[in-house]
Amino acid sequence: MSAGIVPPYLLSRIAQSDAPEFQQAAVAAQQTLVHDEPRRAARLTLSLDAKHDLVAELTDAPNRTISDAHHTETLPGRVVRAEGADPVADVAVNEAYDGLGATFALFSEVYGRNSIDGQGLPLDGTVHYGSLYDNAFWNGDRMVFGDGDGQVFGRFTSSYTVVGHELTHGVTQYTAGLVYKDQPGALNESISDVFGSLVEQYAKKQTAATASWLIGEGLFTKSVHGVALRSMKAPGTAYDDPRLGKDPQPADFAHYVKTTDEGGVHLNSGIPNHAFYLVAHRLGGHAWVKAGQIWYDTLLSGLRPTTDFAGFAAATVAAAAKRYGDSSAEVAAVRAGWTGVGVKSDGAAKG
Amino acid sequence: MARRKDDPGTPPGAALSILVVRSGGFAGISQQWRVEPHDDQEQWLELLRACPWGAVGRDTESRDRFVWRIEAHLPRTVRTASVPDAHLVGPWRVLVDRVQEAGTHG
Repeated sequence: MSAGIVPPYLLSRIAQSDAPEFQQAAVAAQQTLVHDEPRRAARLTLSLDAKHDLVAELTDAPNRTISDAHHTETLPGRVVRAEGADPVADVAVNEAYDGLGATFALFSEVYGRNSIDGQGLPLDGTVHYGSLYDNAFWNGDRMVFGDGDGQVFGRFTSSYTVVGHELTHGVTQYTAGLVYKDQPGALNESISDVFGSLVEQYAKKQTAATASWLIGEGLFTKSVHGVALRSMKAPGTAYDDPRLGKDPQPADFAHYVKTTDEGGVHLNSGIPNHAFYLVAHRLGGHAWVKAGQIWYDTLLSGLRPTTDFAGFAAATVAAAAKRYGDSSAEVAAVRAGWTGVGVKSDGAAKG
Repeated sequence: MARRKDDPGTPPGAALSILVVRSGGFAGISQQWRVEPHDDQEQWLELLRACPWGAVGRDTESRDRFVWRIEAHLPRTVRTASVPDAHLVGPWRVLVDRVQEAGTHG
């Protein structure tokens, strides 16, 4: 059996084939060409069944393009690696490419979502953005990664959790559309942390018990007293450094803060982050299977863009009940998770 | 001489301080820089005058980008602006770069 990313010209050749043994493959390729935009990719797997008939299977595949800004702030930069191309000498390029692939794999293989928009949207990333740039961001169209300053931060491509986080902002943009301020903004951030962490866990096949639950592990240089930027397991403990201060994330709603950064979206995300951890920990096993599924179902449940913590919590309970039943262990775990962070989940889910 | 609408309005020699606070970003860690110029105030005032205080662009699409809060403390007034990273260009960028180079970081 062979598998690979099939370029459009090859799909066209297969689609036009009139060889009897390629009949199914031709139909499948025709469907791909009809349904997909020109740049969208698919994975075609050909095999022989027990009767030696050719079996053609089409599955979703990423379409990644990594560009290099060459330390300017001009986007998109020059293309340095396109889908299917071999690794290059630049580690940041390969990290971004692999991180996007790992993120695509989680959403596609676990939740059946074909890329950011569910319809195979190409995944575009730019590395080496700016000079000593201490950040990674999503600009509405692409993921952008700085190299860090080398003193506090290293490369922002070095953790799957960062790449997954940025791409998930795109998923939220195409689904719940949570506004980027106050509680819905903190939920927007938290959803990116949740699936960013799950990208890493899925790639490493970690369980809820063995996962680090850290966001941005390894981004700090060795001179910083800290292991990561955030901890979902223990918000507020990721770093404690003379230059940066102590990780200020709250772990429960009683310590919700109102501050800069759109009302503290990167701080208050610690509250729903920890709720997710508590749910995943209680359910055990691979977190992407049940806890992740419930959160993904919630994201697609018709949330209002202004949904607050309590509204989101109620929506997660409703999503768990719909998939696993009202009296299920999953519903009990979700309720316990939100109780653990001081957020009520017994309100009517607002859709 | 008539004062321009965006003129910070400080006579040379008067107290002047400029604060730049960078918030947001993936890390969510705020950083700030402050400068209190004395000898070259007129140059700083020129920089402040060049900035479009009343016409800052918005960025509703980006996530995890920096936001730059810029405060110019003058004897008779305080000018403030919140500038999205995507719009930190032209005179805003020159001003922030100058404050980062000349000011104290903390």
